[in-house]
Amino acid sequence: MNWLFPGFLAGASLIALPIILHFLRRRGNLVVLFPSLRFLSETALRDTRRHHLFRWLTLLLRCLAIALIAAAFARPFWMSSAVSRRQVMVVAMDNSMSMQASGRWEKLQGWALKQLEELFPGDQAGLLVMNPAPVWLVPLTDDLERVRSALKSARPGFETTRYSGALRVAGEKLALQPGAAKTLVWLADEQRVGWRGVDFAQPLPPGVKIRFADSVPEPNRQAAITSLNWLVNQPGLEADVHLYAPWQDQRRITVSADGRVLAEQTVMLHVGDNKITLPFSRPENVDGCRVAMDADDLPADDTAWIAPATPASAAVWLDKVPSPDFLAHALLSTKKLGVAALQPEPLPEANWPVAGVVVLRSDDVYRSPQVSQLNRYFAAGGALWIFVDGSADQLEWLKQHGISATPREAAEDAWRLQDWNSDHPALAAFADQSLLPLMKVEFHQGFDLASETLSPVADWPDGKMALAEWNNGAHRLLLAGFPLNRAATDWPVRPSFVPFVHQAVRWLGSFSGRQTDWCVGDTVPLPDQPGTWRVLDGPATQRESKVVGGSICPEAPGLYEFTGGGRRQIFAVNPPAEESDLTPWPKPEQLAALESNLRSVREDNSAAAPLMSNEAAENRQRLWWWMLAAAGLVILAELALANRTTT
Amino acid sequence: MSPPSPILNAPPAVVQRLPPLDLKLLAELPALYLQARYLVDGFLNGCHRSPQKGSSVEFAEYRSYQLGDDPRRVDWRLFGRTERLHIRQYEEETQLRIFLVLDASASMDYSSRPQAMTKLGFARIMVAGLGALARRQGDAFGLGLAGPDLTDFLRARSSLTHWKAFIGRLAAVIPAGPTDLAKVLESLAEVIPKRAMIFIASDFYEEPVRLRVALQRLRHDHHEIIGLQVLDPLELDFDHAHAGIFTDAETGRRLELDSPAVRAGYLKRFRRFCAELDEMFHEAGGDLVTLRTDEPPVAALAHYLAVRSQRRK
Repeated sequence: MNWLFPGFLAGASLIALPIILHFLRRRGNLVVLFPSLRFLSETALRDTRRHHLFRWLTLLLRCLAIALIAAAFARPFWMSSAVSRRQVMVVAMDNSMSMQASGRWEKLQGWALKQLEELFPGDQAGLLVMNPAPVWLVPLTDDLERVRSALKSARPGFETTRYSGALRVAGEKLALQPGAAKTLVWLADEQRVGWRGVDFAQPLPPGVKIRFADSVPEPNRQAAITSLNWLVNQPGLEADVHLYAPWQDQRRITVSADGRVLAEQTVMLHVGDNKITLPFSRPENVDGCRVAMDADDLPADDTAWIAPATPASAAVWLDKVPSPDFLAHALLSTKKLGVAALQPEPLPEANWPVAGVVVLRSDDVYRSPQVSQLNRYFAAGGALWIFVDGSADQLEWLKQHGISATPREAAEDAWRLQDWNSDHPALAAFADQSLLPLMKVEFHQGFDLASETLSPVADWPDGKMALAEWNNGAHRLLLAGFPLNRAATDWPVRPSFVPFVHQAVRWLGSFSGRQTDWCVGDTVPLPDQPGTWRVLDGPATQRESKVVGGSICPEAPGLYEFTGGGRRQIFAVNPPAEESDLTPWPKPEQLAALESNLRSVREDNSAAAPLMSNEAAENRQRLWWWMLAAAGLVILAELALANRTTT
Repeated sequence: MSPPSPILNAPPAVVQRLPPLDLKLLAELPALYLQARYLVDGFLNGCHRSPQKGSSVEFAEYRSYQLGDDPRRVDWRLFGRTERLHIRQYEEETQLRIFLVLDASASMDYSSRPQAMTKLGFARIMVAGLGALARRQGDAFGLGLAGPDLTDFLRARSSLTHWKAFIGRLAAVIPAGPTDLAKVLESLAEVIPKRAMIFIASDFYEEPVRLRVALQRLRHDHHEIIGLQVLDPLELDFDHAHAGIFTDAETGRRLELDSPAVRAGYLKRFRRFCAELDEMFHEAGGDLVTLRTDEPPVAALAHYLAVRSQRRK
């Protein structure tokens, strides 16, 4: 045992005082002549013996009380390696929509708060929000109360579950804490969709323990409106409803707009997908429709919105390249989507339309006289996607705009892009899946991009920029540091090419008017000019309008309005359909295997030395309080006993 | 019924007027007879100041005329009504026989404080005082000294010679060993010819069963018994503050005790003994007066006499 203020132990010498008084009082050898001992018989002897025992006990209690008080003032603490190690705990909070299922949030939140109760002053804790991307709601701090109150006030949102990022961020953060007992508290419902993309073969960093909650309540009734489409041949809607539980369920579906009920229908749902046609006459000038069915265990996905139908094509202007034109093919394939289809057009000689996207792959446009057309287009805010081929005119034009493109030295092995910025709108098509298809694309030619105005979208293996965005508000440019031909890359024949091209062009052109139905978590492209974004309908708590431009990521479903640049657009944002599937991860043993069996080197080094200051160790144990309490009890016992010995 | 005595007829008012008796002075008086006189004077002073002059000339009873009686004592008025001769008897004509028994056991030779009177000294003065009081009133008084047996005995007389012998015997008492008080009382019953008033000054540390038998025997012989239980304050209060080795004054037995621890038990047993003793005397038609050696004996005695006088009326 160690002492914070050992000087107070000198106070224990006061024990001598009751001992001296005890022996002074004793005087048992005094001879007392008494007329008769007939009334002082064996009973008196027993009383005397008991009295002696009580007096010794009283002395013992007095000494003990003094010793305990002295020890309490000396502030004792244990400095064993087990106790002295501070704890660092990260609570990773799944704030996805599935956590709104009845009973889940309350149970898991209570469980996580109980885990935090294990911490003592001097320990650290942090609160990490998982979705849409891992964000520290409360970074690691000594202020445990702040973490607790943040956790208490937190509520689940409408995001899609993403576990991989949070697992990595929390694990890396904990691994950086030297000599601490590291615990990752996993406040999540272990939804299957959340664990997708997690590499179970790569466990948490050594020394990091992960705690999972007990099983969460299973839903008894669960169905979701997964998509809404306008009927083509007749007025009305077609709703896709997926029933998860039970096997069959009867639901009432209501279509309304501006507070008026347009259609009502009672349907019998079967497990799986159900297509429901809802014919009704749509009034003029309505901003969109709300489709709702009676609530179940997860009410958040029982309501969906649909925006008014809009024209379904947009133009992309392509320069002329030798056949085959992979990009044109990729763009044409979007026609199968029905909505938000893209129309590739040859780049005109003059008067490039600003309301479109120009894709440049050859070096012809960098030479006079077309370069003036390019400059005019770019200065007018036209969106550009440039593939660098290394021609002198192209490099010169880039240099004029502060961008350098240096040819990479040829290598035997192909390069693969890394560090993809998963938050970038151009990668929205991969946000729900995995970036792995993009990372498998091989490159044999490339250029290292460099500019203070460029933001990387993806890097070469050596960390140089390979794909970058230049977006300063007035211009939008996507710069690919490689030519788009088969000699340079196999990307055009890869499955990831079409979705990337589709999403990148949509983002570049801000064709927000073309696609009006989005999911929570999507980055909704908006015109660069600032405009007013406001909620028309939905559960969003933020009802006030706000000024936004460029893009916005709605956090709640609903019907939204954007007004700016003389245009008014309506957006329907719906809950992510995959989030409605509450099925847990089917292999819990894989979750248990996330902990590494290895001990970190840092942990080994730190175990030898005390890692916590004496004050922190003492403050954590608070033995003095128990000693004072014990001293109080001892004094009470002494008082009771002393009263018996003085009668 | 025993004849009434002036000793026992002190009215209650006397008790309240008794002058304070200086115990220290009483203890320091050089001779027992002086101590006895000091005690009696103190007692009688209170009586003399009483408006009641006493009742020794009061009518006591009639009895039938017998040959040899003085004809002047015949109540002729009664003869006129009844045609029988009766003699009027007055109280002053009745002579009381008083026997004073003093316990001379070793337990009586005890004082808890060095300068204070021992129980024996206190009892001796009490006995001498009662003897002086009896002599002053013309009553016969005798003495019995209690040891292992009735060690000394003086028949009841009222002469000056007898008084001197009485005082001499009392002064010569040496306490020693245990007392068999029951046996002493049995012996006393054998030697007292007529009914008498018997004062027993003792601490009564005696086997209760045997003492009860002895007292019943005295009652059977029509004696009136008054116990004077003389006790030291320590015996009554047991306020000894420390532990110590307690030694029995009679047997020499030793016990190492812690006074505060045993006080409650001692007092409980001692009070039970006193209550039993009091009951024993009442059963024997007598009374028990408890006297503390640290309080003037006259007050307690006068109080007792007053209560007794009231009871007789």
